[in-house]
Amino acid sequence: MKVREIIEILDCEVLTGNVNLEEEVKYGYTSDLLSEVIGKAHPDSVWITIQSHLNIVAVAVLVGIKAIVVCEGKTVDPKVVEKAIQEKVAIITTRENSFRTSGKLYEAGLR
Amino acid sequence: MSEIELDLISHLSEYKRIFSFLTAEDIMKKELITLTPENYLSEARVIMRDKRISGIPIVDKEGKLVGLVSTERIIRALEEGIISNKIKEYMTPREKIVYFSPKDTFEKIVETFERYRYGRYPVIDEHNKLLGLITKHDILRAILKQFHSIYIHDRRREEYLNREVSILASDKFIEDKASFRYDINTQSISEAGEGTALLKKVLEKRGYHRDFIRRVSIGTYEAEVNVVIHAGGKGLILAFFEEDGVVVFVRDWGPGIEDIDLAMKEGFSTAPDHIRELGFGAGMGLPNMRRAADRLVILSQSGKGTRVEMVFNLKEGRD
Ligand SMILES: Nc1ncnc2c1ncn2[C@@H]1O[C@H](COP(=O)(O)OP(=O)(O)OP(=O)(O)O)[C@@H](O)[C@H]1O
Ligand SMILES: [Mg+2]
Repeated sequence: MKVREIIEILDCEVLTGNVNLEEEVKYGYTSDLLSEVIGKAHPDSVWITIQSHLNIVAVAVLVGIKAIVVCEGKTVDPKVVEKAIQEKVAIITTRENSFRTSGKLYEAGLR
Repeated sequence: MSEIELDLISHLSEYKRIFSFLTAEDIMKKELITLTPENYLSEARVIMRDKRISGIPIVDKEGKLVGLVSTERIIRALEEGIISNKIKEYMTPREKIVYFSPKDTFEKIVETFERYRYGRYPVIDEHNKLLGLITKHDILRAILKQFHSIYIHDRRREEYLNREVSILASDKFIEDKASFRYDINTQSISEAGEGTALLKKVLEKRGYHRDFIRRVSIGTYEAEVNVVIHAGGKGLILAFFEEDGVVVFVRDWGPGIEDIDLAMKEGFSTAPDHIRELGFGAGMGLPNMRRAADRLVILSQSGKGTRVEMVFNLKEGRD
């Protein structure tokens, strides 16, 4: 599934412009604990979380995560967005919670 | 010595490189009970029984070693009915005693224990003066005293133990040899990871495989973040590019880890609440380091900071 499709499915806002829109994502991982993500998420994943601070970009880069979905309508600092663009990680925000967001993507076939 | 005790010694020999800086005088027990050749075997027997010791060095008036009496000798003396004789004629004489000099290395000591299998060895100076005594308990005690704690995880143990670059090599020595250096100096959690990001760029430039870079970066990031969160933010990252892999060394001058085995457990964390709110403090950092690296050595002394050494081996067909 492409990052572009994820945005369509979730019907939400992308903060990082064109970054990674055409990248292929195979897995999803939902967690707010950074080390958990580092240890367990697959590369080429979309990461669903309520964290929105700068370190999420570093974690995504480490793991090889293509897109982060920030849930619960959390605001993402422009500095974080800037860093994400620089590091080529897409950041998407939604008002929905992590459960519903994960559910929608699961339904659409992500594992 | 029993089989179990011998086994203990052969385990120790696996670590001889790590503790190579320990010498006989660091290890030996200095508070000694001694007797003279003029004492009686029966006196030795009483001391051994009451103090629960297995051997007594015999010295002359000037404190020079002249012999040794062991429990085995006392048992035989009892059987032979000579327990009320003087020690003089029945002790192991000086020339038959295997002994150490104060500067003898840990390696030599362990090898001697393996070779002779006696329970105790005196340490004497060049004038034959008795300085101390070493039993296997003294070796263990010295190790435990030296390090508050040490943790070693290794997939290829033998190779590790023979490597030149090691966490316990003097700092100066390894700093000079490092091909990458980053000084961690920040209290701000949002700046944690910058050293890792730089190292990653260097690794990419050098053309390592993406999975290999991922492993190195994960291990280094976790160690770097720990320095910022748990150690006051002052530390050092060194990396060594070697033929068969990369060695990363992260040290800090923070409070140290009180119980490393506990800290290694998944889920154990002492991170404060404001840090946990940011998603740190899952207690997964050290386990992630262990998983990412082929070898992880952590050395931490309370009050003296923490040293982490990770070895990432390039694997044929994998990285
Ligand atoms: N450099 C260090 N200095 C002092 N204590 C440390 C250091 N590194 C780890 N610790 C101790 O070990 C514990 C476990 O570390 P670990 O990295 O596994 O988890 P964490 O940092 O608490 O959480 P996480 O890494 O999942 O965000 C820490 O909570 C801390 O008590
Ligand atoms: Mg940690």
